[in-house]
Amino acid sequence: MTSANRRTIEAMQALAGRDLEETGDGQIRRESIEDGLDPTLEARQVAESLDAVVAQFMRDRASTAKALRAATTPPGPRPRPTLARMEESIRAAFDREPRLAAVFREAKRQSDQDIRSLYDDLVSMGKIRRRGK
Amino acid sequence: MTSHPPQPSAASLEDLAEAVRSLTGDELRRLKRRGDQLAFGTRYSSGLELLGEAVARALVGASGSPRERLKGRVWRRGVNFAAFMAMTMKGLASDSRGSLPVRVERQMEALTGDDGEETIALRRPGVCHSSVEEELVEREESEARLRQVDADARLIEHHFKDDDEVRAILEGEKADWPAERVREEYGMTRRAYDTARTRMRRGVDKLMPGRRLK
Repeated sequence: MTSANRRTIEAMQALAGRDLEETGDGQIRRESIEDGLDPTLEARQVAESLDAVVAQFMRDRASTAKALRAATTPPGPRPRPTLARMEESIRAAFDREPRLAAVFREAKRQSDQDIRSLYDDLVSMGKIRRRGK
Repeated sequence: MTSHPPQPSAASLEDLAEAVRSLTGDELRRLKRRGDQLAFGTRYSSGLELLGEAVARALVGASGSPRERLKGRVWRRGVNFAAFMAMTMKGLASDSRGSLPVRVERQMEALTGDDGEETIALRRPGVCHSSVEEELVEREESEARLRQVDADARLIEHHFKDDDEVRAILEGEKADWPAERVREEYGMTRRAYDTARTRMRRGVDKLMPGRRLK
């Protein structure tokens, strides 16, 4: 039974997909309204959901890099510039790539430790070139 | 000797993040609807979840080592991003709906006799799985997916049970007939065919919200 059912679903998807392709953007907006949805809000919710996926991926990547660094770096003080220089480097990275600022929103309320951690994350992502004091 | 045009380069993580951010409202609404259609019969509970998974796979494809990229989907610059997302969703949906259940069905066919009784091979450790636990988990997941395919197909058939034209175009599509043949066989005008197809798409749109328990 499952093979026949799979064909039913695939047939529906092929037909509905072709119909969607041939339907204009204006008609899709009208259909949203017919369905009681606000088209602008609908698009914004999708955008926010995708933004969250990207932000989560970037954070996971940074934390994986951090864990890898912790596992492979010999213990001891890590060379970092002064706090003021780290903040300057972070600001410059955010200016170059505003998306980074969105991913690391917490950067706006930072303790000294947060700045060090954020600096290390951005270094590990290749967004800042590490420099010593 | 034939020469192939150079393949566009794979997008970086930053390119990809920018492409996601640059999707227009119309593209976002269209992708969500396409996701809703493709989520039927899969483990994804909504088009939005499927679309999110497509973005996640593309991010994996744009980062890391060549080995890591294999686990993701690679978007190449120059390819329309919204079209790439739609194709990625289609591939993920197909994987979720088809590959594993089909593989298990084939394994079961190969390992059972004509009367459906399991052979000694099925009971031999390591033939299909490395452990009993893995076998149980895989079998449970496969059965859940098969149930999902069956339930969603029944939902669609039930929803259109009184609409002869929609049932006709579905049957024609299942038989791989071109639209002209469906119209001839069922005595439909082009307009009747097109409106039945739109009616089916809109009906499916309405089936999606809340159709499945989380």
